Amino acid sequence: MMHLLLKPVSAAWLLLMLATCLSWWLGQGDGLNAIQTGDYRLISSGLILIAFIKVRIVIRYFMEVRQAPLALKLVCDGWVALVCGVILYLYWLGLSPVVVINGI
Amino acid sequence: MSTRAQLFCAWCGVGFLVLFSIGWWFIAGYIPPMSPAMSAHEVAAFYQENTGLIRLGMVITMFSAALSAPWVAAIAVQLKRIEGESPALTYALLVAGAVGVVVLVVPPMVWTTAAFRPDRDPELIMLLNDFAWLFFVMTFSPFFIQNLVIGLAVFGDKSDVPVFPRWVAYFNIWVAILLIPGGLITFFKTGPFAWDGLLAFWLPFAVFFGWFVVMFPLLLKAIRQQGLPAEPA
Amino acid sequence: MSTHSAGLVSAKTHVPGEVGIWVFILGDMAIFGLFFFVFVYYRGLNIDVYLQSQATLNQNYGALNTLFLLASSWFVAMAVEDMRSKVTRLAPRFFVLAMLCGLGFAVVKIIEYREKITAGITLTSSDFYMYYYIFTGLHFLHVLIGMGVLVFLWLKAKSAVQRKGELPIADKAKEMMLIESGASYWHMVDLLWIVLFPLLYLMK
Repeated sequence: MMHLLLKPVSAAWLLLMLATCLSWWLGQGDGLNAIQTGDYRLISSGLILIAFIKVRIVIRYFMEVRQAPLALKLVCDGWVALVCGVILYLYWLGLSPVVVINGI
Repeated sequence: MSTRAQLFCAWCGVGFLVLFSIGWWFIAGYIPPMSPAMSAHEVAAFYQENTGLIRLGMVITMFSAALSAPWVAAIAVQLKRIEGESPALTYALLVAGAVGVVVLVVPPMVWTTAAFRPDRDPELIMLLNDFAWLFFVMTFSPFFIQNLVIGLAVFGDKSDVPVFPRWVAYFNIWVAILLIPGGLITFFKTGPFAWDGLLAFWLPFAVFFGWFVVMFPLLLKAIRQQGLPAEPA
Repeated sequence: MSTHSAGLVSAKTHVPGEVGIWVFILGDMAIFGLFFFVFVYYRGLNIDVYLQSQATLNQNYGALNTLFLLASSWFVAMAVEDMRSKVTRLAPRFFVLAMLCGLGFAVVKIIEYREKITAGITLTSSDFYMYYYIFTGLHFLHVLIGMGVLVFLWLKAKSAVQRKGELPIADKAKEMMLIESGASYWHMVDLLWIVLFPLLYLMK
């Protein structure tokens, strides 16, 4: 039993659970109040970043892409970088007063 | 064994795509889709200004829809090779494919009804227009079953030289799931889940077309493989 | 493609599961990526409305469900490790634990839906809740499929425990390929929820 539990994947799991609790704590309070207190924009960006770090850990340790061929690694990392980047971009775009993108 | 009839049926799938695009897209001009938020007068104006093109386009669209029948039949013959004596999924594919033809034939008939007397009450034209669009975009269920049973059948292929590669099973199930958002259009007039929306229209539409493009060469390959002389046992 | 030698002969590099499952996983991730973009973009056009709706959501449910899925994924990872060893003993139990966590997720989700619907909040209440119901609903569909997959993996693991002697290497490779494919799918369900959680519940 112990040899099973003492694998890197268990450490990854503990880290994921802790990161979830951290996100939970950071995201406390209802939205409207949070906007008047503290820099909610940085907190929200942090929450998104934490989520994608978690995603990468899941991909590498749970899905075992860590040992996969380079192509699969690149595609997965590309997805993480692209989706995280675009979400952050759109999030900050939405905060600025005037937003118009035609065609969506 | 001659596989000529099967090859003909497979090519009908290409015919469907080409004629459907010509009739529905380029002639009648239903792409980009009109917004469900349009007023009755705007809708009526569309039919009054494009009457002739819509009538012509719908004849072609209606005809093209039936070409999907031989296409489904060709896939069914290949599924039958996998299933052998107990071809339940093959029959499910045939029935779903037949209903699929109905789903593709009825909307052009309703659109053409709207264009038949374009000077009638705009409210009535809008009613027909709504009916045709809802019927066309929302009815994902026969296509869902069609892709699902193809996926299940390919999963069940235990032969040494499989009819379709196994990833085709995953691909078809993925496509089946992507067609589901179309079912949500009844709730919305605007946004991504309206009948002109990114996630309820464009995504399933692109995936449905893409499915033909991916399946066509695989189907040809499977048919050719079947046509090869059997090796002496 | 089907003869792909997914191996327990763990060479340096190795695609987990069969190639086909990655067509599905990457395809699904691409689509959910698009979902996320659409949500964040439209949210930016009307932030106040989204925040008002979001404030009526219970973050504890979202967090609890994240923990459920993470635990479930870990149990599945443990089970896969155990299936790889010469003598499989614990894998069926790990799969049962994983299923219980999945069930926990489903129960919390149903309680949450029920609470919202009895409070009169439905698909058409606001744009935020439109995305909430559709995205979590599609994800829930993935969870239900995943529960079926876990049952399948559990049966495989049970027969691995019961059989006497080792399988021939080719059969074992095939068995591991199926196990890894199912496991990878379940991890993807986890992964998608990890992104949905901050997007729907936390982001201000």
